[in-house]
Amino acid sequence: MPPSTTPPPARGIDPQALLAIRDLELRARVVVEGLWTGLHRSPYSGFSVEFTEYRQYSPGDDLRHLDWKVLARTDREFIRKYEEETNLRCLFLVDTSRSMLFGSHGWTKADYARTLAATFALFLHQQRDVVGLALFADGIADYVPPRWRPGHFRRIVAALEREPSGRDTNLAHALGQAALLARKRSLIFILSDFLSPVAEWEAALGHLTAAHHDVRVVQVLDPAEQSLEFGSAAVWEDMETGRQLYVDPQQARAAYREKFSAHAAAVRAAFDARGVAHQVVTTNQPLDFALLELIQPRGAARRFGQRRIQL
Amino acid sequence: MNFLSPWFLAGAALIAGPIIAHLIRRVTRERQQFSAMRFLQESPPRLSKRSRIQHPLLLALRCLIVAVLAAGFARPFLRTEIPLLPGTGTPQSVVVVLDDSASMQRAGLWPAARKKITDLAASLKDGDQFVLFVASGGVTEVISRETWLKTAADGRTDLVRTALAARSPGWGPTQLDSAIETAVIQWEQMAEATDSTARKKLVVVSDFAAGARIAGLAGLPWPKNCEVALETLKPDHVANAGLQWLGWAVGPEAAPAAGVPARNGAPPKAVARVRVVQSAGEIAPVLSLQLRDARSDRALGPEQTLTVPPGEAQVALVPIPADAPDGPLKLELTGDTENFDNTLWLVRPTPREVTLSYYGAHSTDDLKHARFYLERATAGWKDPVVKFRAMADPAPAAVPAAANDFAVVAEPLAADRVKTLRDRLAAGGFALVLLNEPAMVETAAALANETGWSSLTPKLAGAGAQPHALLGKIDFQHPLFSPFADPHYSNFAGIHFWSPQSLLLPAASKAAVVARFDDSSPAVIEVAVGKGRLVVWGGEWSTAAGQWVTSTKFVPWLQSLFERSVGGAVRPSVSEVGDTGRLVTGAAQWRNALEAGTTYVNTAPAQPGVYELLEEGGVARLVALQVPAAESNVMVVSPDDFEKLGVPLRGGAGVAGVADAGRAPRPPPGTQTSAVLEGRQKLWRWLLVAAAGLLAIESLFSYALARRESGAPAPT
Repeated sequence: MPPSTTPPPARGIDPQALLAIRDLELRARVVVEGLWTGLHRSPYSGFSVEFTEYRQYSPGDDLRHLDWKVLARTDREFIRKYEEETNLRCLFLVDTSRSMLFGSHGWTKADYARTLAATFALFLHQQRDVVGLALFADGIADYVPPRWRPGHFRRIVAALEREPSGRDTNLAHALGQAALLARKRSLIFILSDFLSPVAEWEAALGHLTAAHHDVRVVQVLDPAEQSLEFGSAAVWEDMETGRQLYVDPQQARAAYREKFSAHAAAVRAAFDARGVAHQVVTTNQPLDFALLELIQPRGAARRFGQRRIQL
Repeated sequence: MNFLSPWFLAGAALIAGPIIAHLIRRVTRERQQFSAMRFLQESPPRLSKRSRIQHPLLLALRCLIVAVLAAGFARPFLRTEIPLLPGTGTPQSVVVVLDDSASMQRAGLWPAARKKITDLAASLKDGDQFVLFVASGGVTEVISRETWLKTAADGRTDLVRTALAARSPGWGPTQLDSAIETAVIQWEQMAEATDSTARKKLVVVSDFAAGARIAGLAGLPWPKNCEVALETLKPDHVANAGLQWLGWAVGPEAAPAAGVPARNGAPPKAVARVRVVQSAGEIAPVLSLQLRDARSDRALGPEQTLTVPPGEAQVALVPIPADAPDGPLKLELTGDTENFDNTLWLVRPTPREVTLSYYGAHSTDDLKHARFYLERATAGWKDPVVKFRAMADPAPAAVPAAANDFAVVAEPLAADRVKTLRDRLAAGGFALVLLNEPAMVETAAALANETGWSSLTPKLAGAGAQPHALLGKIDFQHPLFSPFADPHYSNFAGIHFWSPQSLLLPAASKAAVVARFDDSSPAVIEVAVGKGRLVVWGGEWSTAAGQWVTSTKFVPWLQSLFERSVGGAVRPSVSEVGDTGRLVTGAAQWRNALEAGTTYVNTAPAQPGVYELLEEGGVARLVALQVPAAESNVMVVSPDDFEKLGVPLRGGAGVAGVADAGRAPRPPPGTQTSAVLEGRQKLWRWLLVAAAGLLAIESLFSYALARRESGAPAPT
């Protein structure tokens, strides 16, 4: 029997096991470690930062940058010169509104989105890329400017670990603020459920893309939100507005799916129209797969609107 | 099943609490939060066959707990344990105690009492027995069982009506306890004489004024199968004001400077202290006091106006004007609707006088004889007032007999003087013979009208120092020495007698030895001579003869000696009807000082007023009898007080009491007995235990339900 050429089915990290880890940083490191092992053969030409050149030491230079090995070997003083910043500035926009607190599997969309953001931030941080973070609900509530410096990742993780205090989602406002904050051309990841009407934020998204930012969207959804295979006949309450309705899911399921599909199509159309890479992840999906999908087609997506990141 | 506190059953309404909670919980629990509500439409409500109430068994359990608790607090009891009274065919023994105390003088009470008792008698069957007592101080049987049984059945009501018509309320105190006790004794006799299963009923008809004495009911052995009905009479006027005697003012209150007005510049003779008591209720607070001559009814002095708020009392000082007669007075209170206690009778005590006749030719400054000490020891006494009279010089026959003659014989008397003195003794006089020499024994024997007395010299002890005799054995029961009976004062061992004299009494002598010297020879003897008495003291009274006259016991002993000669210790001159024991102890004769011809011999008067009291062996004096002060307190005794004393109260049909004004509403009939029954059965304890058990079951049940709903396995 010839050996099978079929690759083994991909097995990612079980989200339940991953999200059981309380420490967000540790969670991110678990994912990123696996990610590096999967990437080590990839011809991925990164945009990491190395030193650029040596120059002769002159009095007054900071001795921390003196290359001691060269001094030992050649008995000459050289100062290592580095690139001031990387070629990639990355800003994560993470939705912290109440609707993100929904979860039908024991963990919420917010947990998933925070883990995703932290993991990707760690990945970029390890590549010496400049990473920033903005948490938003009805506006940007928390902002960590894009930097690269030792301990910066911890600041990001600390911001992500804060309990969300927002209630309503005002994506348009948040995107407008982000456009003001990101002055330089950046890679902007938006992690949200995008459940609000498309018309509310479509224009703001256009402003971001018009500013030549590389905007990529990760739409985090709960499987129950897609199928409404969830709950029982009861009084249902909107997590953001508090509006209450008596809902029997068996009766409401068909109409819900229809409306939700229409909304999803509208969202997709809005992103496609503006060349925004759009990826839908559900919270029962392995997280590392989602991450791989995000980072692998990067080269192909250099041109805005050329292709959409797909799962 | 009956309940002692049925109003607690209203607590069962709390059952609504668990029901509402079960309804509310269902709504509150079934809620679902969702993020994508924008895409949802409201579903039409489905018809559910299931009851809206969740966990009906748990709800029933909780309702049962509330109901059991409410029933427990309502204190249930079973009526079946009550010994059912025999039916109408069973004869009953009815004892009626009618209170005829002074407070029953109030308007409207006596006719109501008569009607009530007559109606009760009319309702009795032929075989029933009936006894009627009236109680005011003492207990008097008005209709005995025999009289009742002898009377034809159709004439019994008339018998009661006639007997009551002849009576009127008295003036004595309300002593319900002794009256009820007498009735119970009578009742037991009736029970023994008749069928022991007869229904026994004691009916007390009274106004139940708060001044009634009921303390004696405690511990009274009540027979079985009995009931006591309290018939409270309602007067026409609820409120009352009364006068109470406090006494004659002494000290600063008696002085004119203390605010007591002097009339015409002359200070008052005396000042009377009285208390004006107002009962609570609607009553005019302004009252007035007027002093009058009891004989002529003439007003003395101005009218005194008082303002006494209801429920309070005020002490008033009433001056006796200088021109008031020395006879009895009365003080009248006006402004009150009930007059029975509005008059106080006043008698000013007159000091008793004793004429001390000293037989002895001794000068008043002679320290070696008794006269010196007697004159000084008796000077300034208030009662009795001693008037000293030396009997040395005048001829015995020329001396008129004084009212209270007290003779002190300090020297041997001649036979004629002995005879004269003995006659006075026989007529009620008093004499003291001092054996200051052996020859005095003959005089003493002659006065005692006895023979065979001989002189005896007691042996003296303490030969080394000054030899002396002591009083060895003293009869402290005797009135002469009874003031020293207390162990604090009974030590006579410090009094030395240096020259005692004693006498040897024959066996036939009637003399009583009151005290003996330490060699057992008589020291003090007393002999009755006719109506009078003779006291013989063994020795002279002087500092040369011993330490007796300088001891602290000398003057008190003299006081008791002289009081004995005038009829005993000082007695009050004012008391209350039914409490004459303070005025007189033995047989006495009472004569109404205001109405001539009314005399009571050996029995105290039953009406207030002023009386001339003549005790046997004493002198006549005026005394006043007042309406008992407690009768003025006309507030009504609560039936609870009777119940606390163990009286088996029962308000049955036909004996329902009349609620009095200003009194708590009477508990419904049967409440007292119900309380006893409930106290015996204590069903509430079992109900509380049941509630606790149900509570435990409910806790386990609800815990198991909660575990089941949350998916966890229920505990096994």
